[in-house]
Amino acid sequence: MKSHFWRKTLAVIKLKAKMLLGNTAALTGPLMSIAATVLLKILYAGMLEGDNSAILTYVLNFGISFNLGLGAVMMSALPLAEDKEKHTLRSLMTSSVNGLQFFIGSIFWPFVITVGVNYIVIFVSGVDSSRINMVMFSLLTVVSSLISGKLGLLLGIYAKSQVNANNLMMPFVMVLSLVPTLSTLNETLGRISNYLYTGIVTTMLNRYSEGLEFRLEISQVLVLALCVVGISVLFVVKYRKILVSE
Amino acid sequence: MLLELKHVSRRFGNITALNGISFTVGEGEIFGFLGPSGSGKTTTINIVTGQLKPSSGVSYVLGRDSQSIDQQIYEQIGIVSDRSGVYERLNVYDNLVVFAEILKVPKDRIDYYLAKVGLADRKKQPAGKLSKGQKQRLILARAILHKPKLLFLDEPTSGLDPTTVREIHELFLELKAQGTSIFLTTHNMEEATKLCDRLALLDRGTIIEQGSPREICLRHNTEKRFRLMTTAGDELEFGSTADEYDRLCRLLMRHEVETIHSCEPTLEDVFVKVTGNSLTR
Ligand SMILES: Nc1ncnc2c1ncn2[C@@H]1O[C@H](COP(=O)(O)OP(=O)(O)OP(=O)(O)O)[C@@H](O)[C@H]1O
Ligand SMILES: [Mg+2]
Repeated sequence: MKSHFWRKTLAVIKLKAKMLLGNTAALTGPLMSIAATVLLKILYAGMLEGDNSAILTYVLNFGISFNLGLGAVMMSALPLAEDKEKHTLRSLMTSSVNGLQFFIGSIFWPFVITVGVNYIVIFVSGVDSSRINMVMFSLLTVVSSLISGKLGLLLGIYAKSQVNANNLMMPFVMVLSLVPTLSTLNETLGRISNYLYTGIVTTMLNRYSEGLEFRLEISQVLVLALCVVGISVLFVVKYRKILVSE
Repeated sequence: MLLELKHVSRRFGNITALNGISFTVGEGEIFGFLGPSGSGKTTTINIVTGQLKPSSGVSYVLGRDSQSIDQQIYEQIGIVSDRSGVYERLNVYDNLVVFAEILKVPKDRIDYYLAKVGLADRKKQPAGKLSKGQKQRLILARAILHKPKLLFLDEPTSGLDPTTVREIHELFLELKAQGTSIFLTTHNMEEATKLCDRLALLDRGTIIEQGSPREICLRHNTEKRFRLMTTAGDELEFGSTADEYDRLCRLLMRHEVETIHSCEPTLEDVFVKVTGNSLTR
């Protein structure tokens, strides 16, 4: 692609870095994922005797589900809702930034931070990382981080304000982070969880904790692909409608 | 032609905001859109800059249909409207850095334009802490940073103090001299008269007059009148009947005239005459 494409994208990435640093609300998500994992680990520390891998996996699961379902979504939804509310999104559009440049520029930091936090969570959860196939873990969490970031952007672009974005986010956050966490406790939740991209990550982690292998099934690949493509399409459609009113 | 509108109409429900307007803006021109609140000025800007669909008619910006405006066109125009926003948490300078990077503008031009709009001493201040007028000037600086070919200004000086307004007007004339064409809306008659090479008077979505301020005023100078003060200090007014001309000549020949003015109508007078309404209703 031409150099001006990346020049504009890079300008948006730099802008987003400056804006994110001052946005405590948006940064709460990933920080809380780490903090909650540490806390849970400390809480369960007393019970840890013998084979503790199940409990540690639960802690890890919690941290990752929280990070993917809440942190990533918040980090991308809130700044975009702010851009809409303050009319800065329109200013970028009418200053020759197109949808794709804005999209890449906006998802960059939420994506990078979410991926990073996933690895930090492994570390702080205390799980024996030799049981985890890092290639598969990386593949699944990177794809899931991307989907969460995109979902956040989609919610942000539909939101009328930051407050509205928070409300829109809630049901998604509940389903995406809680259902996988509770999937082992309830059969129905377990089945639903299989069709959530965050649930697939949980399934992987559970298998690793039992010392088993994990392979992606066709249905899971389809779920992931559908999320990646579907959300992008919805985003692009809405982005055009933002600039041009009917 | 940098801007061309052909029979552009726009309805919102049963309100007709624009009713088949046509005009053109040429190179190096300041074109004014003068009309009272609600007459359709902002609607026009939104349509021609590709931010609103017209109900019918077409408009072209830099030769491109407004409805299929792309990045290339946006790189060559600037827009100041009440729908322009600033990054409130970033300081004034950083607000402009973003757009300088997007539009490939050398950074030293940021300082130049900040000084031009009188914000040089606010460089490090968060944009959210600026007053309304200062924010407006920041948005203006951003819109001219890349020396656009065509600049859209939606009531750029409303709410600013007279001294600032004068400075901003000088800036517009300087931009014009450097080759930027300007389309500006206003409900301020003096601003329109002073700045515009040509203008259109807009009333409830219809253009009721078009031309240079002088042309428009002279066109409506049907009943020529003169006001004078005699050396004795009497104030008199004359119409254009033969009888009145006679009396006027006699006063002039007797050197009894201290001052004399022709009373051609102002743009406001024309507007009132044609529509029966005031510009500032
Ligand atoms: N999105 C909208 N929905 C419904 N009506 C609208 C919309 N935008 C504008 N209008 C109506 O269209 C008409 C023209 O509005 P517009 O904003 O263009 O006026 P204006 O000349 O810019 O006024 P002002 O000087 O107050 O800014 C008004 O009657 C307004 O109520
Ligand atoms: Mg307006």
